[in-house]
Amino acid sequence: MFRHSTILILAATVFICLGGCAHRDSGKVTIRYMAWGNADHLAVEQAIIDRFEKSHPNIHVKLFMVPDSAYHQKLQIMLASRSAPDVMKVDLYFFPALVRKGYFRSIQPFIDADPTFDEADFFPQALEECRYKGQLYGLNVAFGGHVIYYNKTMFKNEGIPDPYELYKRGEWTTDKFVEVASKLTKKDKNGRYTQFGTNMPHWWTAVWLFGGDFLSKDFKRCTLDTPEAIRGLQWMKDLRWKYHVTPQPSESSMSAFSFQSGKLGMYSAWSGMTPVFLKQATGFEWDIAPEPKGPAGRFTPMKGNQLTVYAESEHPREAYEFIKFVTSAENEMWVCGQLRRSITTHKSVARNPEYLKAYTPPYQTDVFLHEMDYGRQIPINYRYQAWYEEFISGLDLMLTNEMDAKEAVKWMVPRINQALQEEDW
Amino acid sequence: MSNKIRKPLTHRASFWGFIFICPWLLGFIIFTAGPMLASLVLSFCKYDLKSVTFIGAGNYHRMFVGSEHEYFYKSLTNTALYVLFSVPMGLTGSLLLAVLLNQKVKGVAVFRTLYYLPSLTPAVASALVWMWVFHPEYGILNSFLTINLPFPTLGDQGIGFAFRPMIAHPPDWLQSSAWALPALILMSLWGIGGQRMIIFLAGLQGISDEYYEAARIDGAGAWHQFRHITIPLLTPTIFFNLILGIVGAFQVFTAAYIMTGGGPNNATLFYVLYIYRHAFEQFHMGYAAALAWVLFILLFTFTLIQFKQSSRWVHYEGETK
Repeated sequence: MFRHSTILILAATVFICLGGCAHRDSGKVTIRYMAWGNADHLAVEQAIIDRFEKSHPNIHVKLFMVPDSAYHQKLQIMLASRSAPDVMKVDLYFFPALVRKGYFRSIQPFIDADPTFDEADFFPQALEECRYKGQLYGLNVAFGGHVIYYNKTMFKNEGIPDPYELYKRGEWTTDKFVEVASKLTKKDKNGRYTQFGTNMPHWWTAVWLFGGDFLSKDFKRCTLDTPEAIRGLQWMKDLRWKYHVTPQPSESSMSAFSFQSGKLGMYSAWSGMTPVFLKQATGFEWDIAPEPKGPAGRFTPMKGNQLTVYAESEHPREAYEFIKFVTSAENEMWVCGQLRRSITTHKSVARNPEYLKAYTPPYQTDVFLHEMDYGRQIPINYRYQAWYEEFISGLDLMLTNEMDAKEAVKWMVPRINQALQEEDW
Repeated sequence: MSNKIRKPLTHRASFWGFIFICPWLLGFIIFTAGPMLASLVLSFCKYDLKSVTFIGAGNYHRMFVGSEHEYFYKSLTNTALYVLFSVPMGLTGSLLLAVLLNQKVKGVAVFRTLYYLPSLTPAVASALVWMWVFHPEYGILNSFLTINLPFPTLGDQGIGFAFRPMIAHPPDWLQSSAWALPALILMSLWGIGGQRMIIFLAGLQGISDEYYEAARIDGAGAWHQFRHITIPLLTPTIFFNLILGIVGAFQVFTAAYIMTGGGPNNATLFYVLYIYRHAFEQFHMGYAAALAWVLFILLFTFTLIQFKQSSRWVHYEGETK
């Protein structure tokens, strides 16, 4: 009796399991999509998927999100263990190394066969970073450069000219930037800082502003030892140790002087910070301005993330349909035009007057548009991870005040060169 | 000629022994011994999760004399310094705390709980709190170090007092490449009330009162009792904690990973963090496997030496020499 019922239960379990595995509606294709981010990002991704599924009723997109700190590790392990999802978002910093290993599928055949895909409508720089050996291996999402978010209320209270106005008048320079930042930096009577002018600008920007660059055109040699590049790095160091207008990296990372807290006048960051500030920087008025102009001109690093198809995906066509939808002008009108999560990759969107209309901060949205003119592609190839480690160590030495820019460059350049020359291991 | 009769397999005790430990044995072979062996093979290969190429001793060459030797020795030095300071300090601290908590005072159970509590805090949470403690300008540690104290001064009107900060320029701790490692060592003492202390406490309670009674009759004071009864009888426990302490300290990772990321300028680049960087950030799996094997051999040698040495200072009860 007991034995019989055991067999019965086991058999029933097997059937239930089998039933659960079977496809219920065979006409519908399910693709898996992986992206990173927090709860807010998740909501946006899901909303995009909902729109997609409405117009593509026979494709179901299953989203899973991974926190950004662990994302690219998880991605690489999934790729290596051949369990990667059909569509995945990849940061440009990792894309060149991964595409080279053959992990992604070229979407060029789909594009070539697709009469509705209008390549000419894309800004060339947005497509450029998705190309490998002449073929597109993905399309660009979350494209954009650095802008300066600034606390308008703080500027008004201090009676300091508005950076955006200065920019319009052509007076928004690195000297003016330092001057403004110094005025915004405050100490209490014990000599402790209570307010800082700015965060640390991105190193790409700093070096370019003074006419320097990181690598030679062929990516074989580090060019940070030019006087221009050294000036740019020294400028970064001076912001902290000479002008004292920016908190130490740890201070800002621990949120003691976050932009949201209203204790930081200017905050240079990717345009993706907009939704975050919209939600959190509510105690004051804020808007955006471009990076200041340096002796060599105005620059900002431009990059995006690649939306790619896994090489071994069983549904590459559906995956392509999804990527095409996410990067379409129609979707960007919404994601870039309303949510302001990134800037558009489409010329038609950029021309559309609706795109710049703003009902929430930032209102000075033409800054996003102008980025396309002075934005500069970041020089990275598949060796980026290797030389970046050396660069950051050298930058550390400088920003902790142990070396000045010249010494730090002397320290890092041979190391970067060695990392660049070493074969891939 | 043997007149043993071969028993059927199922009648042998060892057969059933193996059957009963089978779940553990399989787990060990599949999940520990197998991967270990695989990693030994991989340490002679270039392996980026995509393809495996045999490169002989290339990884080891890179480590000891090649392009990575600077980081390799740096991480080894950092780890050795950490072990050298945090283990003896931690052991002494745990032992003293255990002795205190072994006293017959009222409410000792409450104190035991209180001192044990910190070790229940998740490592990540305590690391985040300690980041604030070490904050150069707003941290509680530097606030304490810069408290104004009256210092005697000799002026026109004779001896007076002037209030000056205890330390005018306290260290930047985690932001300074000179002080980041000492800061992490200091922080490791946070764990003295943890498991080690409990093991010491258990060891202390295992020492019979008769010894102390006999010593007291002979006129031994508290120090002599501690020195000549407690310490010798506790040596097996000390030895156990020492071995585990050294092995654990060599594998220090979490604090540096969260608080400093190995910086500034690799001042807190610990060995395991270095392995992690290569394995899971740069995906140099072959090289990381080689690093892991060097650590394994180092720890194995260390432990072996300690076991050899232990017969000189570790006394087991009932042992005759």
